Amino acid sequence: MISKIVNYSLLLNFLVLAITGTTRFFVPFSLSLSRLHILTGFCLAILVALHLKGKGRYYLKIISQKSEKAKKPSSGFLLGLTAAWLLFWVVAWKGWPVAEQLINLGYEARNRAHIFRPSPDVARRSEGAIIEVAKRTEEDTRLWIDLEWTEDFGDSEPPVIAIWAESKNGTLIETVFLSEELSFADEVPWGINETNTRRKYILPIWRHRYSIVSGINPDGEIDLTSGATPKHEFTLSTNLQSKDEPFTLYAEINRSADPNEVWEDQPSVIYAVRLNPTDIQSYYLLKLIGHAGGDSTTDGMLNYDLSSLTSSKKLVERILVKVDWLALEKEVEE
Amino acid sequence: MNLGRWMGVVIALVVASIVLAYLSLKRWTHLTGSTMGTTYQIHFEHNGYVGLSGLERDIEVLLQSINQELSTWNKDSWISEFNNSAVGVEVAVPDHVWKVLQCSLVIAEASGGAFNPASLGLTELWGFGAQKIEVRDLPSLATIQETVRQSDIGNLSLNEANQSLKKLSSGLQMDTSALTKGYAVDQIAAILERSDLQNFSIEIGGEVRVSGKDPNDRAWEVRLQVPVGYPHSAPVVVLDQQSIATSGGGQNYIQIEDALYTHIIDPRTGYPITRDQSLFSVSVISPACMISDALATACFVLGVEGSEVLMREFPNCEVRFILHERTPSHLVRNR
Repeated sequence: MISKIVNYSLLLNFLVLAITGTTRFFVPFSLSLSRLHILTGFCLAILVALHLKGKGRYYLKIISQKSEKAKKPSSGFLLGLTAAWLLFWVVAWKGWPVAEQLINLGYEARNRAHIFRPSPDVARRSEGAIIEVAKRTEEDTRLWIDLEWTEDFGDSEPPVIAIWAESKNGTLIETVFLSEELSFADEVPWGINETNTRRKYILPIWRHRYSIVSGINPDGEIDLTSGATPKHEFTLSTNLQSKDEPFTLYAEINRSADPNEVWEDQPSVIYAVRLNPTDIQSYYLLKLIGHAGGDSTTDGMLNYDLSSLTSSKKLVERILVKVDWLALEKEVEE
Repeated sequence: MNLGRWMGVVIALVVASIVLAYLSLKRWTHLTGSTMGTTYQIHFEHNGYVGLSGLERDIEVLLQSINQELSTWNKDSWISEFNNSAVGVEVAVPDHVWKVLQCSLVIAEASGGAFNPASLGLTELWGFGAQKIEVRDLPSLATIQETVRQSDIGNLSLNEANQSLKKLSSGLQMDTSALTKGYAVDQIAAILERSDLQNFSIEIGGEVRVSGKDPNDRAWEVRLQVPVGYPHSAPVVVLDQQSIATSGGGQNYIQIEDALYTHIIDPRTGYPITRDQSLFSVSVISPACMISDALATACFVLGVEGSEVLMREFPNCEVRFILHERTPSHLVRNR
């Protein structure tokens, strides 16, 4: 009876593992899918162990010298088979030809321009109504951002948010935070009907700025420009370790299905603050400066008239930034 | 073979055919990053058989080696060490430097000295170099003239036979940044072409090279940057197996008293081109980005009329000017 349960469960779990593994290859990252795949993998490992335990004697007979009736594979055959699997795992692990080509067929390889992953030196934590982001340089943590919503959204989806830094000439330096829902595809479910919507309609200002990183403009086209060479690096670490490079921190926030008398769905709102290494202060509050309604989805420009917005202006309690300028002062003196 | 085995073989063949067909489909890959103090974008079409990680690695290694040889911002680069070398000491020249230098000397001669790969001394004098000297007052005329004299290209002695170089004056400082990005673009194009990639675009810091068609199967279009408040839409050029490079004041300038001095210095006089002059930028279109890059700088120094003379030496190139004036002003030469 137990062996029947184990065998049946093996079959079911194997099917789920195969389906989730294959699906994971072709669609954007999904935490639920990954969770199902991983936990099914654990279960499969346990079931295989139980299966081997139940069939232990049978397999021992197969490889035992004493069995004459069993068709025993030769040692050479077993060795060759093991070597073949080892080679397969090495090729897969290292991404050598064939493995690389097959993996490049997957969703992540084909859509890398749209997938956002924060830099490894950025840490983030969300708890209740608070989001915390910290950015390290080689020396230590230099930048902390605390965002507090006006309410704890609990089980309902919180607003989506992008936080990024721009240089003095308005070029995006680094995106330090992007909501997970927007991180893996340029089109995501959005609104009451969960319609597939491009990021340029959800966070238009950030998406326009992000074109320089992705190489693709918000309409999905390559945008080639020839002009005087802009001096630029895609890391905030340079600004945080320099006395000469001020930058502006922006946060763009949007809540799905948020209508009012003027808007069918209120546009995203933008908060900003300018940070200058020569500032005496270490703490800054981002201020609400505009919204991204109207033509913003086309031209990526801010609208400064906030009078038509209602609830969207009240999503954020505060966005507090701390920069360790004092540590920078000491380094420069040294 | 029984039915089960036949079924297995058929299924395996079908799966293999589907995978092979999918591998043969063309798709676009977009690479972006930072190099040489600026940004780059590379877009190319390929099928699934192309080893992308190998290609990326080759490009990364190339950019690092170019920086290691030619970056004046890197104290350990070949060019920095050459600039610190003693007068009269013959130094072997690595390949990237040699190729860039050969092109530089051709453009230097053709432009009558308006382009000079040995003018780092002037760049540093005006505060635009790696030393980041803060310049609040005009350097003295004597200092400028002495630096111009030390930067004379005649103070560079080449030995073609053994690919070596020596300085004949202690003040000579090499700087090929005016065409290094264009050179890097051409080298990346060579990597892509060696992998049989036909449709691609490469851009480093505003210097662009294209091949074939864009993802919409159309000829590549490149917008030219225009000044803030420009009363017309940005000009668009259509390129076919060509490169375009642009030289202009951009955001890199210093203010001394009431004048704004760009980072582009006329090696003949030792003075930077000022921003109050009518020329905003010069773009040159040619088959090779390194040539476009060097010619764009030379033409910016020479201005509109001086460029006419220079461009007669390069009949397969085209130049476009964008002026600060309010009238439509992009002029086309050599076409």
